[in-house]
Amino acid sequence: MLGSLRLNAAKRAAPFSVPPVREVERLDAGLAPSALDKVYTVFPHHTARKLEPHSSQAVDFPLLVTPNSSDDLTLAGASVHRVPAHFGVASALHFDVDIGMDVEVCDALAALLNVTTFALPIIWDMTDLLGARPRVYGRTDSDDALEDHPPLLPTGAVIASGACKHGLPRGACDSCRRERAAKQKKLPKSERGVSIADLLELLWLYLQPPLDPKTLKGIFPLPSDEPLMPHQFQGIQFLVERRGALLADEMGLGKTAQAIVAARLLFRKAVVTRVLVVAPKSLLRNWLREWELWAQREVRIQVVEGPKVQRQQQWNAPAHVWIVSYETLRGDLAAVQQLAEFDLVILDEAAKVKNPGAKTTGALHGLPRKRCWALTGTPLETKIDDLISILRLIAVDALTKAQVKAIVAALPRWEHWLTPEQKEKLMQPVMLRRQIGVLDLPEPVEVERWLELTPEQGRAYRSAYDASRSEAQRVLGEVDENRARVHLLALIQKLKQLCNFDPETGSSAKADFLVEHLREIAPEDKILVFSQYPNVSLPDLKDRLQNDFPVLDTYHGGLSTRRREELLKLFEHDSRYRVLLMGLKAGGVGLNLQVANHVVLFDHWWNPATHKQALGRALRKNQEKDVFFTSLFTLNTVEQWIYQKLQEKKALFQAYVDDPSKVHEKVEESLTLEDLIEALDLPLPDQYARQEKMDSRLRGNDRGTSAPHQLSWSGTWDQRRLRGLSPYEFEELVARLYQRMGYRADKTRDSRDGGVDVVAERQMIGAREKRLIQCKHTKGESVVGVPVVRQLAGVLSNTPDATNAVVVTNGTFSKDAQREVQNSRVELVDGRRLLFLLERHPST
Amino acid sequence: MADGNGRELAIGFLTLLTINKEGGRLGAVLITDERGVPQEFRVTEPVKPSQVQRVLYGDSLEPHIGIDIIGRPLLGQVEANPEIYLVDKPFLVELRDADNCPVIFLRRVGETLSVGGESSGVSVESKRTQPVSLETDPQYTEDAREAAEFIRHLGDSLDLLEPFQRIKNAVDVLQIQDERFR
Repeated sequence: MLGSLRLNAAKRAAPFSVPPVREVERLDAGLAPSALDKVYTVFPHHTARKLEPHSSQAVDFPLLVTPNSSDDLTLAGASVHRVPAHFGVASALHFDVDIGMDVEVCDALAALLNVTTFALPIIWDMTDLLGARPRVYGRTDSDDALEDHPPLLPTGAVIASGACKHGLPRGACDSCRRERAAKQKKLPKSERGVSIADLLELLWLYLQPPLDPKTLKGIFPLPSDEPLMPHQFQGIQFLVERRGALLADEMGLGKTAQAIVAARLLFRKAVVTRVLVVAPKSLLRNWLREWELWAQREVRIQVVEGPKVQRQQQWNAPAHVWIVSYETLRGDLAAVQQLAEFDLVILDEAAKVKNPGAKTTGALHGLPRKRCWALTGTPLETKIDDLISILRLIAVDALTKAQVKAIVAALPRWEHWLTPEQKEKLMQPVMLRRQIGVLDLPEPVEVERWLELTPEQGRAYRSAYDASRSEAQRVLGEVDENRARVHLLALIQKLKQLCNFDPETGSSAKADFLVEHLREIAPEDKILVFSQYPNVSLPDLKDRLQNDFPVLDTYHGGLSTRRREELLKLFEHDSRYRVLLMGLKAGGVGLNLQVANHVVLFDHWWNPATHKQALGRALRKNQEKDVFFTSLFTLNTVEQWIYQKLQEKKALFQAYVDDPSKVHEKVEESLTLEDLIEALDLPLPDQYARQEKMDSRLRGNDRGTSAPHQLSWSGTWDQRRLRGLSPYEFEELVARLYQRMGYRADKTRDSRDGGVDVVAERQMIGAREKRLIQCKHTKGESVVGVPVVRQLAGVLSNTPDATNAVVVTNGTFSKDAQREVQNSRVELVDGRRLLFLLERHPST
Repeated sequence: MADGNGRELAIGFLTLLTINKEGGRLGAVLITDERGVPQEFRVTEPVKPSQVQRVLYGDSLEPHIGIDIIGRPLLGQVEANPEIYLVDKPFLVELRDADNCPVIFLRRVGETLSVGGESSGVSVESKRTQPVSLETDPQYTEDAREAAEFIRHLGDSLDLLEPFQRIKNAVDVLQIQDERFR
């Protein structure tokens, strides 16, 4: 049966692009039925040569043509017979025209019917447009892992560093060539824009052979020097199978690689064709590098940045993957919503969207997306709502929405009603989290260094502290709670900066320590120094360090992307540069800096998760050296109070994220007004008075600075009481214990102890014993590993007059550590042994 | 696998895709090595028959477009010298005389054939794929027997019907990206 065709006689040629009528051979066939007064037989010119008109092969095609209006005709309802000539193509046509029909209309119809001549289509050759044919592989065993295979595309054919704005090597981009030609007025306006070459390049990926996602075996080149690890295979499969997923692996487990390989698998199946990666600005280039590495140049990548006009072009450029910062995406949301829907959105460092009311979060909710994967090593930074906010973002399909809804609905019942198994069952469908322990990485040696302010710093601090107290007391009486909180935070920030440097003299205990530290570590080791004050403290630190060492410019968020790239490359590849100073926020996330194995936190952000992220820069896959993580604190300052707060939050973080059974525990608002009042050791105003807060651990001493609270050393000790100590107090406890055991025990100078915290000596009959004691205090259940033991053994061997060494912890030792000390001069005292010694040598 | 001269063997996959409700058709040929790695890919812009053409050509429309309008020009431009062309439409076997190369219509055993083409009665079993049946142009039935061993060998390492899905995926993307292919 036919459909209907409306033919506008007045505009008959244009809509159908018919060939000219002159090509039509028109004959009177004399076959008219009695009801019709004219019959036209039309032989298309290309078949007329083959067939004799009205031969036995010819069959009539009766078409009924009826007038519809003065201009229009309706052609409908006719049955069609074809001539069984070559391939059955209609070679002759008869049609009948109703009585009274205008001849011109018949001509138009005849011309229309002559469209039976098809134009040959344009054939696009993708292979040629790529510039070179892909390599032919020599290997025949398709089941082998193909780590050593070259990229499928010719080197440089797709994405390369230093490429043009479309991501292609300079000189190889057809779009750029066209733009240049357009500028030189060599190309008409109509031809400016995306070329077919660009589009066809996109196809190559979808023509590759499919893969088994479980094994990744097949034609799938992966970096030869970075084989995927078992946990990554698991993560890739987790992502591939889900439209909405939260990959919450700890830093260093290769979340980026997992996401890219998973996306690549979906690309190969053409399940996704447009991927958007949203990442912090500082990580855009890092993502570009990772795509180049893990996608082996199979995909075309477009980083979206720069002026608005340029960004508009970048959004519209043909690509597989767009990489954009959260801030840029927020600004471009309206434009992005006009584009085709993204098949997959990857949210890197998803903790940035923890605030459900933030504009960025709102923008992401408004982003059209079929799949959404969130990546974060710290799914909970301050509040339980953070995790829920992220989960709501990844809920893009009915299944994930239902799963997230179930989690949200269960939160009020979480604590008292759900079993751990039920909680885990709720979380598992959408979140996958593994800890660094899945890797056979060197256990980081975490060291806290408690330093005394230099005299100059002490004076400056005392003065500032007094001024801050006065200011704080004035503020508390005058403004509301919120404004008071802001004021007190500012005062505390100022004191924190003084703990780093005295601005008048440039004196700094931490800088002094760092200089010594750099001299002590192996010359080939590299060190990352993080500070939350890249513009205040780090310039001073750079000045101080560069007297003795070549120091690069500080890596911080204010630098251009290009400059950041340069700094990272210099640090990675130039052996002269051993130190990289980094702003905690800009350098603390996403970067792979395994070349460094020392990480120093010069000061501390309120959030313990950021510190772990800083450590994660060096403690990553393929890190072959022992990693040392040193936190610097100053004694008798506000930093001691900060330390306590960090410990509290750290415990909550671990409880929530790593143990779903404690997910109900809400992390308190990070800093309340009462907290801040406590930090400055002020009397609480009436409206904030809380008796328990007055029992602050930190009390002003006679110099006006804070001091450790007056701890009682007597009484019964247990694990809980030990955990409640600060590291400084723990060292004090150990020193006192050894004094009661008959030693002359002294704490060492904080900055030059080589890891030794207490030196205990005693004179025995005919001999003298000198013990080097290292104290490892833990707030949780942490296990002291081999690196600590080896470090102390090294110090012992370099101290000729020492007879033995002891590692004392309130926790436990790993089995490897226990094996390490067999037949050595190092003794281990774990928490149980320590409690035994404390009971045996009680304080009076 | 290479031939006697050490040349890498190539397999051609030719398909005709219907791309819209109006019956627009687009042809594509993918040349791969024996492991399925693509070596060459060519695709035509769509041929869009008018409604009248669809009426006039009837059932012959698709073969006419597939063979005369798309198939012959497309194969004429392929630079590689494949050992065999595999097609997923039975009428495309008539392209046998276009490139002097065996053209085999491949289908899984048990699938229903639409119309056209005579079954050669040759079926092939392999390690990787379900048994497939070969169809050839009636004038070249000997092709099926000769090709059977070759395909049996290829089928051990390659799902011979899978590349057609790849071509379709690629064309789907192309259509999204460029209206010239819609």
